[in-house]
Amino acid sequence: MWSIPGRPIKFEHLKALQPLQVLYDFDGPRTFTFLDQENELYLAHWCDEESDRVRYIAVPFSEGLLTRLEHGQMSLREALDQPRVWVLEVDQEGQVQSGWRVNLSDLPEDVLPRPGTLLLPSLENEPLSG
Amino acid sequence: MNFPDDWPVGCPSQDAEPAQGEVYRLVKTNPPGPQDFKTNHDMGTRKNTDPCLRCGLSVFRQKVDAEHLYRAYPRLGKFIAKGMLKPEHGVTKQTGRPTHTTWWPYEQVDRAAIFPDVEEII
Repeated sequence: MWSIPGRPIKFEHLKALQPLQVLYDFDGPRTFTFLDQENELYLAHWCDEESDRVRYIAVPFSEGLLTRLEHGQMSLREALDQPRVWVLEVDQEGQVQSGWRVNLSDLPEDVLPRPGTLLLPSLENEPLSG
Repeated sequence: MNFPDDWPVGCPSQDAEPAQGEVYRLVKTNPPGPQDFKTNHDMGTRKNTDPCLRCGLSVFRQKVDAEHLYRAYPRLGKFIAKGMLKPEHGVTKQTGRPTHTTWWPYEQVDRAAIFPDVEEII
C-alpha cells in the first residue's frame, strides 16, 4: 500500500473502530461515525485496504456536520477537510493498529472522494435541503 | 444449487428473493476476475460486521449508483461491470439505500462470468 505522508501517533483513546452510525455501506461499512473512549464523535471514511488491514481517513466530527453531510449540504471531501485529520489502520477485527496525523492535501488523490461528491447519489439530484 | 456449509445458520434470510435482473458492481480488472467477486467471508475480512451480510456481495440496481461509488471511493475499482442475475445464481435482498442490494451467490456459481460487460469510468 501507499506510504502515508504523516506523523505516526499513539491512539490510546481509540482501541477499536466500531461504527456508531453507518452512513454508507458497500461490502461492509465504508463511511461511518464512531466514538472514542471519551465518547467524542468521529467520522471515518474508507480509503484503501489489503488482506490484513484497512485504512480509514478519520476526523473529529459533530452532530451539526453530520446533519449537513446527510442532507447533502457538504460533500464528503469537505467533511474530511477538518483541522485535525488522521489515517487509521485497523485489522480485520476492527482494532486500531496504527495512526498517522496527516494533511488531507498530502494524501494521494485517488484515496480521497472526488471533489463535490455527496454522501449519497440521490442527494446529488435534489435541491439543497435544510 | 446450495449455499456454502460454513455460512451462518439461517443465512441468507427467508425474505431474500431469487436473484433476478440487471446489477452493477465496481471491479478492479477488465475483464473481471474471481478476486473482484470475493465476499468478506471468503477473504476473512471485516470480522466485526454482520455475519450474514459478510457472506454476500454488494451490487447496485442502477449504474448511476456504481458511478457515485467510484467517485466516493476511487480505490474500489475504476471499472463498472454489468451482470444479469437469474434465479440459478442465488438470492438477493435490498439491504441499503437507494438501490444497494446484497447478492448471496450459490456455491457453484462462477460469479465473474455473470459480469461480461465492463466499462471503464472516465
